[in-house]
Formats: sequence, structure tokens, C-alpha cells
Amino acid sequence: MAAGLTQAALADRIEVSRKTINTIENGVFIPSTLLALRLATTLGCQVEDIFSLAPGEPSHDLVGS
Amino acid sequence: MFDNPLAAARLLANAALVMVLLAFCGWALLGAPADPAPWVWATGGVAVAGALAQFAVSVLFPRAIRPAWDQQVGRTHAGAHGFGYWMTLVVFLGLLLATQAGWLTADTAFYWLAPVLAAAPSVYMLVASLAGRTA
Repeated sequence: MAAGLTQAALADRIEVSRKTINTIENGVFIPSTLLALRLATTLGCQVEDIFSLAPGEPSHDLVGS
Repeated sequence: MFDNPLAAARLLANAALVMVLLAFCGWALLGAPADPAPWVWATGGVAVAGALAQFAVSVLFPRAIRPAWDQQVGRTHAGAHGFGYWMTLVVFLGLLLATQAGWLTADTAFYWLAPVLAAAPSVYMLVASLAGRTA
């Protein structure tokens, strides 16, 4: 885990379950923008550092793209 | 799996409800007596007891509430309601056909709807919990 935090510690800071952190890390659960921003703020980085489109992943369903 | 007491209480409540539903189905498939009313009371009783248990745990462990009902659980919970809705429609149509064909009385079919209505969302939540999709 980045920033020297365990999954449990990160989960505790942003008030979600450890399983939610685990499923986000594994790409099983895609969080809302708000939760992504809280994650990034807690980890001291940009949202883009944590989340990005996979190469070749369609983005035509995103507004404005 | 049990690092959050409220999530654990929810899992146990859902599991208990699913167990009652499975027992009800097994009882019916074994050709037990035709009066299913006691099972409906059992289903309702277990559901209410589960809800009270979760409320009590929420009062005892208030810090567990937000993690236990975080965004992922919220989505899973919404999915459980959707699953319950469609299951009720499907089972209703099935029971309607069964009553029209004379395999069931309307009274018995009505009683069958209750456990399905109560336990279908719990089936979804239990499967999601065991798949690691809830707190």
C-alpha cells in the first residue's frame, strides 16, 4: 500500500471497510468520484495516480469525450 | 470477515433468513403438510430479530456504522433490492401458473410469496458477502 498505510489503516481514515479498499485495489469495485478524491487526498497524490483507463479501454461513454 | 461487528451481525442475520428459506423449501419439497403459515411467521420473526440485532450492534459500536454501510455495500444493497423485486415477479408468475393449473391453492401460494419476498434480498447480500463484496 502506498504512503505506508495498511489497507485497514486507509479504510479507517476514509471510513470504508477494508474489503472495499481491497476490491478497489483489485479493480473489482470502481468507487465514485468523491471516494476517489478522498482516497487520493488521504494518500497525498492525484486521482490520476491511482485510477486510469487501461490501454484500449473505450471512453466514449464519458461525458465530453 | 468479522473485523466489523455490524457487518458480522448483518451477515449472520442474512444467513439466518436464508437458512429459514432453505428449510421452508426443503420442507415443501418433502411433501410436508400443506399449511405454510408457521414458516411465514418464522421468516418474519427471524427477519425482525436480525434487524433488532443489527440495531443493537449499531448502538453499541457506532464507529462501525459508516464502514459497514460504505459505498460498495450501498451498491450491493441496491442490487439486493433489485434482485428481490425481480425474484418476487418471477415467483409470483410461477405461483400464478401453479394455482391456475390446480397444483396449489391460492392461500398456499400467498404464503409462499412471503418468505421469497423477505429472503430474496438476503440471498443476494449473503452471496455478495461470501464473494467479498460487502464489509
